[in-house]
Amino acid sequence: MMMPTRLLEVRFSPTAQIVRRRLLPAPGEVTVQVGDHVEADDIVARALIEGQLRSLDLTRALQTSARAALRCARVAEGTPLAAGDVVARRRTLLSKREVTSPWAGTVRGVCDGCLFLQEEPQEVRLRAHLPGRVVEQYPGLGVAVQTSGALVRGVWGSGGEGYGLLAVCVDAPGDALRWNSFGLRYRGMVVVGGTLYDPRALYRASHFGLSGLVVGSIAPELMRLAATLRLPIVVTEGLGAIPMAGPVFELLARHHGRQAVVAGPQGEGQNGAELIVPLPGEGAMMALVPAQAIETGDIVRLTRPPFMGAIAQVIALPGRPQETAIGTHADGAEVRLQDGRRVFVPYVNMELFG
Amino acid sequence: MADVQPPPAPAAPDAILAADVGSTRTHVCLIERVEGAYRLVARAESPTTWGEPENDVTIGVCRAVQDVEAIVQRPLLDGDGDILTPMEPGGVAGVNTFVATSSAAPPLRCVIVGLTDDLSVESAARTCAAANTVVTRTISLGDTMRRWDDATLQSLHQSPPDVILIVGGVDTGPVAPLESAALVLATIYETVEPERRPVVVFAGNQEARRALMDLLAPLFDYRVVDNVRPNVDVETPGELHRELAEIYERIALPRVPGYARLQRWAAGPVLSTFEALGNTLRYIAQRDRLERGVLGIDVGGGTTHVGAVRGSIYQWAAAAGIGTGQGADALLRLAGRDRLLRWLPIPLSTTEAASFLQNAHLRPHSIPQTMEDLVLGHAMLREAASISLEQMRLLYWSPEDDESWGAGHASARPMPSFDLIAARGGFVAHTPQDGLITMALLDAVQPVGLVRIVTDWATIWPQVGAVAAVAPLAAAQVLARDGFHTLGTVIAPTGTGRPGEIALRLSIAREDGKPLTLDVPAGSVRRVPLAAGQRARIRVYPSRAYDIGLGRRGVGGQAEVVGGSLGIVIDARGRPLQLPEDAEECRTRNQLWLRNLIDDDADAPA
Repeated sequence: MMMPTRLLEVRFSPTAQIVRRRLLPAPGEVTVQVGDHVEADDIVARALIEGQLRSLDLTRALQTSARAALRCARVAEGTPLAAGDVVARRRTLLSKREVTSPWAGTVRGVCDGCLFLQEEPQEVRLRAHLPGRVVEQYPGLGVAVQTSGALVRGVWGSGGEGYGLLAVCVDAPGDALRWNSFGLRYRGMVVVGGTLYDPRALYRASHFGLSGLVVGSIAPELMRLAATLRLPIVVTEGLGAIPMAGPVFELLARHHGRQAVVAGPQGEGQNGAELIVPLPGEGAMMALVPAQAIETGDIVRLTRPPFMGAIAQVIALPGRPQETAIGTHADGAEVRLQDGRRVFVPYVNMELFG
Repeated sequence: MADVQPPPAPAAPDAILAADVGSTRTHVCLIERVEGAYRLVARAESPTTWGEPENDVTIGVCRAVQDVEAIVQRPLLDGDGDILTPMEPGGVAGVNTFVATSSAAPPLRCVIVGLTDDLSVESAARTCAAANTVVTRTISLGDTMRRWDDATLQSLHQSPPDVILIVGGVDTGPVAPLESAALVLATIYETVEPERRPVVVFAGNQEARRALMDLLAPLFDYRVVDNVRPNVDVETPGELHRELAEIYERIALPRVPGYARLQRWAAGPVLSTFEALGNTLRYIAQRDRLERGVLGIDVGGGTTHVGAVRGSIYQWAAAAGIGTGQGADALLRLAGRDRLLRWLPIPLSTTEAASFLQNAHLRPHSIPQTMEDLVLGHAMLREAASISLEQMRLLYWSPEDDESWGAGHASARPMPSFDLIAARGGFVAHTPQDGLITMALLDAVQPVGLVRIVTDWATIWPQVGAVAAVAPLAAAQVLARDGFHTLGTVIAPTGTGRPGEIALRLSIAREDGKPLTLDVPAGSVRRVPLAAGQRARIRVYPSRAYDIGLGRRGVGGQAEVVGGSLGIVIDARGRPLQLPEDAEECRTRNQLWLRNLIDDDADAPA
């Protein structure tokens, strides 16, 4: 029996067929058909989602007890309300207090001294995000959109989705993105830098309305700040001062000025942070696979010190576990670093550049 | 009418495949009958494929099984990639049985609703922290300004937690505030789809049980457990702790992507790793008749779990989101950089350390390749284990449990004594230097008295716990023959002495050698080689400042000990362990202690 093929995560692909599913948060209506061509901004599906639940603290507003507040309520469960409607009233010998609703909606109940109401359902519109062709429809749920292009999957991201022209604002993959690396004319663009450790660059990017930031690495202390901004950010290598991998930087520099879509997870995290540069009409491309068998000659990125961020070429695939520099035995590959050294690296410490 | 024959007893399986799907790594082992006894035949590990891009944990299981196939040179998966069961005639392919355990699901998210911010809510929060449960919000009904404000409502309504835990009120206390809270919860979730509604657990005033049941049971999966704080001075977290563990297994685990397929393959229910590991620890304590019990320590990538078996009682605590992989970030926030860095025997700046840790968090599947990286991982192991041990102290261990305990705050008290420390986890399995592992365990646990230390070198203990349910003989035999790597026996007295003073004199009579006498200075760690499987008779004579776990200072004792890869280790640093304030001096001490453990000929007599 043969040794199993070693599958490694593909983090970067200069040309591939990319398919992304676009799904509604709740069942709704799909507005496009299989075969339709869509732009990033096109609506592909929409749904009504439950309105927000609101509370009005009647005890505080009427300065009374929870039990008395219940008696003062002038509306009952199920009552439709318009903004400004009186929902509770309390008369005393000297005064009259009224509580009005600041929101339109439907009363859900009065309990524990609070009036609960639900706002009207809201329509959610789902954009295609990716310019391309609809290849699958999930009735009532969403679609799958396919495009051909370049893909860079990040190790961390934040801020949701954006798209715009790609603008490489540094000269080398290790150059820091500074506050003055870009100006107001970059509004709506996806800006690329090597490293990011200046909080002013983050604030400025958000303030100027950039569509996204793509950097090789980010200072750990900026992660929390980045996650609070509504600015899509994709980090390709890691945390600290790791230059963007050479092949990634060269690819982005080559596509400077092209339309790109960027996605960081909502909030922050590792799942789904990516940059796609659509390349329509660039000929037939292979389908993108999430993991691929490693072979001699492949280019890999090393992900753990002492070779963190280094790019190397696979020169041998020993079939048995080998000893690492600290004595651990692990399955891995022998690789040649860019300075010519040959080293053994465990498979779990490398990622494939497709 | 023909006689009804009883069904034949199921034949004992010849080959069992067992998988443990952790949050970071998936471990698979193959157990087979070899010359009449069950043995561990092959094992393999693979990154857990929980998230993007695979989103299916069975893919990681299959990758590990393919490695096992390559070792045993026979197919274990069918053409569709499913586990091949039953075994084909002649044993040319497949296995008889597959079992699985998992801790891959994220911790439960819990909202606590209580009368006030203290007492019951504090007890509930402590219980959650030790039950792999993250408290995302606490609603204090006494806070009339904010109890049901928009932020609270939106978090409850738009992203419902897994569990809402209602606590509060001593037994026979007021019921009305709890009823009001229940009414509000019913109002909030009335229009939410039933499958998105949280489980509601009531652990408050017994008098309110019936009233709350009437209000909540029609809408929610409603559970009642003991009042977590029946009166001001008493805390009873046990039942709540068990309930949360059960909810994790019933609700969180099935949400793991690929769980349905994993369950389809398995001969029994997919157990939580904690439960399966508990089975194994219980069995070890029972088999070896360990009067003082077993302490199990499992520092994983995303969760740290400590379990203790004493007599027939098994108690455990699982620190949610604390570990050496995905849990590194939370651990760093909780413990702080300074606490982590104090364990390092080599200089490393805080910036370098933070960068190492944060990148390990981003790529939790990766393993250390440098000594800096490795010792930083062991620093994390120490702090993660300490956090879980502290939870055990707060929840279960009281001074009455052990004579060797002194008075004072929980964290200042030494550990209860155990016969065996059983350690496992990524950094335990992937560290080739036994001295490093032992040092980390001594620092984290600070054991007292005489204790043997073993590790789960093959990362099979949870799987063996699951195998026990379908083939108990196989589990017992594999555990006895292939389950342990014995590091050695530790002698650790409590007390403090001046540096240079003799803390204890040790007399050792090996089975095959001349007797040996060794004076161990206060504040030092020493090692006497004694090969695995060898036995020796020891006599210990502590100085008047030290207690070897007998409850009295200066009183000596004797015992038979077994060896291990390190032999006999004497930790005369006293309890609680005091590290020097000065960073440089602390590093020097760490180096010295480590050298004494790692080097064969450092100071230890041959």
